[in-house]
Amino acid sequence: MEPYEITATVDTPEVSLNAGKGTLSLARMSLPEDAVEFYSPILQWVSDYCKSPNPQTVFNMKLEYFNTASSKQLIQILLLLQGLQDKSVVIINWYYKEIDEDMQGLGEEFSQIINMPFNLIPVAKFDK
Amino acid sequence: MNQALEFIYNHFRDIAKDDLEYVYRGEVTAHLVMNILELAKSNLAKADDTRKMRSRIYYIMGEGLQNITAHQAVSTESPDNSAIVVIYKKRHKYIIATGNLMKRSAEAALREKLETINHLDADGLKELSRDIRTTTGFNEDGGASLGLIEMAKRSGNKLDYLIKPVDETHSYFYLTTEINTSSDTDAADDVPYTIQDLIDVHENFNENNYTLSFKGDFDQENLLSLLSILKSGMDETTTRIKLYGVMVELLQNIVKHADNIYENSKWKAGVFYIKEHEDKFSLLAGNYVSKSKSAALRQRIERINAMGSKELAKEYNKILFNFNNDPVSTGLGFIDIRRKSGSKIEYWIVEVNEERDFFMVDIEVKKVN
Repeated sequence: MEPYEITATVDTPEVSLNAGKGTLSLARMSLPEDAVEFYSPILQWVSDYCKSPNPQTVFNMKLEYFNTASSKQLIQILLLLQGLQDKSVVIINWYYKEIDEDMQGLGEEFSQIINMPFNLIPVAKFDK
Repeated sequence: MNQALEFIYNHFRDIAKDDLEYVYRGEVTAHLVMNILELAKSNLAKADDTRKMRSRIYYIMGEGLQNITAHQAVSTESPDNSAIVVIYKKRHKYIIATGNLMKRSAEAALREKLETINHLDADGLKELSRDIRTTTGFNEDGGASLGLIEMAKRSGNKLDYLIKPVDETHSYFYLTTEINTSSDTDAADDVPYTIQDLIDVHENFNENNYTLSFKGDFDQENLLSLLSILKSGMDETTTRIKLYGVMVELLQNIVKHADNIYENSKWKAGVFYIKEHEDKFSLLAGNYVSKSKSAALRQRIERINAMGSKELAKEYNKILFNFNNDPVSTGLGFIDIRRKSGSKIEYWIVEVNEERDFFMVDIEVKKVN
């Protein structure tokens, strides 16, 4: 499977999906005008990856901010990873700025609703 | 509707396609200047003006804003410590209006400079600008003078100004520059923007503790510019993160749901204010909604307002799993606003005409230590 890489813009995240390494990562900001369109190839990639995954899958969620439209897409990625657990060891690292109580709260909430433990990792700031 | 909101609505009502009014009150930093210019640029690109005209306007705005960073004084005693910036466009007229505190000791020299500039014609301005560039003419702070000369030269208009004493050592310097994008006959019907208009805006902002307002087209580009301005005007704190989140949802609501009153155009009229109180911020946003949608909107907000935090979480999770993938409406915006702000959504729906209403919200975001 070809890796999927996109650089960040002001309103869309940096995306790095690598099947060989079993790593998925989203970073920076996610507030696109059309979240469905932006996330559609990502969801397709994750869905294909789930058919023949790496023995271990790591999802690094490093978004500094995502809008509600993006949250619906994010939960779909998480649901795909939840279903992957019998084929791969899935690790979810949910990074958040230590001053960002809302992002921390969302991590706790998303972990609860998809019934999977997350590593909630506070950082002083994100690398630019 | 309270008085301040009524004022905002009345001020908004005269909006026409391609109008723009952006006001900022606060400290003007180089970073902020860049962000304001970015906002101006994306709006300039939408108007019908020629490229030459656009670059002229852009240049004058840049000079006007840099003029503040060059001149502004700081006084801890003065309530007028903040600078004010207005970028205004109506019909054929662009205005760049600025105000900032300055030392009274510099007043006479500035007045003399402005009078000299205003008494020169185009050729005279060219000559003066050349003199200053080649020698150290005018006086030692040649940089700031050149800016003023260029503004007069490129706008083709006099620099309208007023210097108002504030206290024993400080004055407030108001300056407006007008740029006409059309022939004089077309522009003749346009309502002038005077120094008094700028003073009125400044007083309104001071009285109501507004720090920013935007009236114009709500699209993704303007939304991103406003967010950058918020970021560059404030240190990153938990409060700013909350403000940012609430602002995105509020403004994207307008981008997606505002009633488009101009046929065959994507231009969406809206208005947005940020107000800072001692212990909280208020975010005010207004736009037109189609009458057919008002009742549902009211019902939805009433329902969300009646929910406690647990119910809000439950509702959020329920809607999160509703994968209808509707790119326009997620159904989560107001719930997210309620949860992040911790406040009820204050709102007003006012009748405009048979087809549409004006919808306005006021969201309080408490400052978090």
